[in-house]
Amino acid sequence: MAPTQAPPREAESSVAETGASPKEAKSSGKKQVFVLPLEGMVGVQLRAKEMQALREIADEHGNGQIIILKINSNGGLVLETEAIQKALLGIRENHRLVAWIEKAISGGAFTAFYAQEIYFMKTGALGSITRISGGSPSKWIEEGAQDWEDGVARTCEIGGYSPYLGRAMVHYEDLLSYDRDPETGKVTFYPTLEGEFVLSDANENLCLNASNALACGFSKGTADTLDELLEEMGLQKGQYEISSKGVELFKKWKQTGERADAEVSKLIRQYRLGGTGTGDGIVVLRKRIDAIQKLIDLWKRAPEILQWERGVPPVEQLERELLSLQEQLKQAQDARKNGS
Amino acid sequence: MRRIALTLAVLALPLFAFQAPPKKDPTKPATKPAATKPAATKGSTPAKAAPKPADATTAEAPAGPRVYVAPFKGIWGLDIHPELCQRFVDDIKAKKPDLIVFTLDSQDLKEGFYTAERNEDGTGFFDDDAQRRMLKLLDEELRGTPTMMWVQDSWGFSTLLAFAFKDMYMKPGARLDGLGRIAERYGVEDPQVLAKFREAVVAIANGFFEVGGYDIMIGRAMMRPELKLSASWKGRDLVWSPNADGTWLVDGSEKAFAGFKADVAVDLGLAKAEASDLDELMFLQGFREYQLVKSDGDPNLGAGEAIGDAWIKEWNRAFKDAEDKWNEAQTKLQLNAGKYADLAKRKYEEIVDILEKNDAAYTKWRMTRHPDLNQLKDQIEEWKQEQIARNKAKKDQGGSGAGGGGGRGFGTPGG
Repeated sequence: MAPTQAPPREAESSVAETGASPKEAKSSGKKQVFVLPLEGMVGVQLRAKEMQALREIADEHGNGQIIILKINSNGGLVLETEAIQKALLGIRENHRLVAWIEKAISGGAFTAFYAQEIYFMKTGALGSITRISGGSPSKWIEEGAQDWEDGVARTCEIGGYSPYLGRAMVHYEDLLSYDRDPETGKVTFYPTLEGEFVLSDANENLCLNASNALACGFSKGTADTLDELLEEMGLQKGQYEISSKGVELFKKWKQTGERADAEVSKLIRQYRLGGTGTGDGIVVLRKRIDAIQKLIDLWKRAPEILQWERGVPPVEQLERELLSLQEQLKQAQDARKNGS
Repeated sequence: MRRIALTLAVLALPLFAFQAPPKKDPTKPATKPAATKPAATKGSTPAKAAPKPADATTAEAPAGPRVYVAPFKGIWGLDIHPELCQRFVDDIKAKKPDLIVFTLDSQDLKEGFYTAERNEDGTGFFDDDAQRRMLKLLDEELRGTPTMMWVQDSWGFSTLLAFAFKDMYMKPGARLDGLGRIAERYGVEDPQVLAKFREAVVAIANGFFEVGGYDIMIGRAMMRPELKLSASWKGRDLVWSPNADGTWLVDGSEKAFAGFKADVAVDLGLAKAEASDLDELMFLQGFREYQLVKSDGDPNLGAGEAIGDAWIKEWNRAFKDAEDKWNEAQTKLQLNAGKYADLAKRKYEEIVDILEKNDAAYTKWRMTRHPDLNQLKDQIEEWKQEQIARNKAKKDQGGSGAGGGGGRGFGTPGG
């Protein structure tokens, strides 16, 4: 919070958000700044698809655009990591990739490593990448644990970070300390406790905050607002335009997910109870068929939500159920016809 | 397919999981010093000049600055809620005070006659995303207006909010304590999972300390019982140590969470000073006179006080309405489920309407072990179908009216 004597800060961004077409932007000669909010569970709300889609939009503006991943995630599915790697390395081929950390725990941290520049919000936290089972109680997955740690360490190196940082975030036994050269400011990490500053001892799983991330050079700066971030990134006003496309991509998927989530509850209710009050088996079957058809349609639009958030059976199972219900309906209709 | 997750599932623990903090395992070795940048202690910083009211010397001008007092009082996450925060911010922006004083009075643990006792009115819960949004609101929306925190007493998650303010004052006897409740969020057995959850949730909570500019080493010692904390003076600066070696020992135990009483917090520079009342607090700012910004509706009340009181009444009323309806429905259903099903359905519909409009009421609803909204809606639908069946039976004058096939799961043979 602002101290009592803090002078008023400069007004917020004077740079209007644009949905400028590539042609318009090129003619202005300004770089596009795309902010892609990445919120929620990795592999469900936070997906590689939006990253890939934004890459394609940025590519249309030519090389050298700026993509900021604004991360707020507690982690998620290991399954998504390969797709995320592909999408983010693709972005890095042609554009400047930045991670801006509100909360990047576990898979969220893993995602951030691909960015060669990481900035924290003051409230930011990043780390704790131990691979665990999703059930309750959560368990550490011992099988393949070393491979996972090695993979995280390699990802760190891809981003230009010490692999020891990643290792200390995976297993508590991994140590991490560092020295800072007082003259050059160069930081040297050690997988031991020999460094002057200890980040993780034999009991701790590393999770960084804004201050110690900055002190060890992992973070390039601390910024709470986009204006502050752009300033930290060394961007001069007038040299860039802020595009709304990344936020639009995020919002679109978020709304789809929220709608799907609400719709699933209604459809399951309809499947269980719809038409039962009529006492008419045919009405009940029709209600169920309608619910299943709509669930199958939802599977196409939001598979991640149905599978991981709601635990809806796979689409193949729903399709089998649909066929069965349709057959029952046919039999019931025939029986009624014959009976009448 | 086996689901392999990197999720911080600990954040989805039940809301009613208030429990005693876990005891320290004495077999564990002492932990290491946190490598944070050296603490720049605020208590040792010479006091800055207080803001002067622009027209303090003009005879016609009202005396002193216009001060808006915004009280955060009650249960963290319910009485102290992002919705209240939004109302404060909106009102402050409309009234444009010279100075904002946030007060904090929230205890999950109260001082009882013999010993500390759990607050019977309820205990707070931690929702880091919602509470970070609250911080962002206060920080970003109120920039340009000086703000301060005046802690009346804080034991529990609320203490995080106090540490999000650079300028903190405390009432004599007030506490900055209870962050051991964070340990509820990492109480798992598997040592790898424990370390993952513990460091993650402590780092997330330490974000509040970062906002206020306090050394995260303090937060760590307040949230992890095994960590010690002491402080030493280096010139005019106070340097924190994660051990018992400093000149001033704050927490030398491996089983206790660090906490601060007002006098110690002032001595260690966490709080700037103790202030018994608003007059004293303003005097400490250099103002012998000030004007409390009053409520539009009730000039006898401060604007913030009126908003805070109204919010607490509003959500409590919503919760009570929902619970009264729930109790009425249950009573009637126990008397005669068939006869009173329509009444119960109406009550459930009203409950859903209330809870969908009031997040704090719904949070308390879940904390007090009621069915969630989906379960309520399921039951409403069942009654709706029964109603249809009864109506049909009446219409058919003796028809069966029985519903068919309710409650069947996916994948079972059709019927």
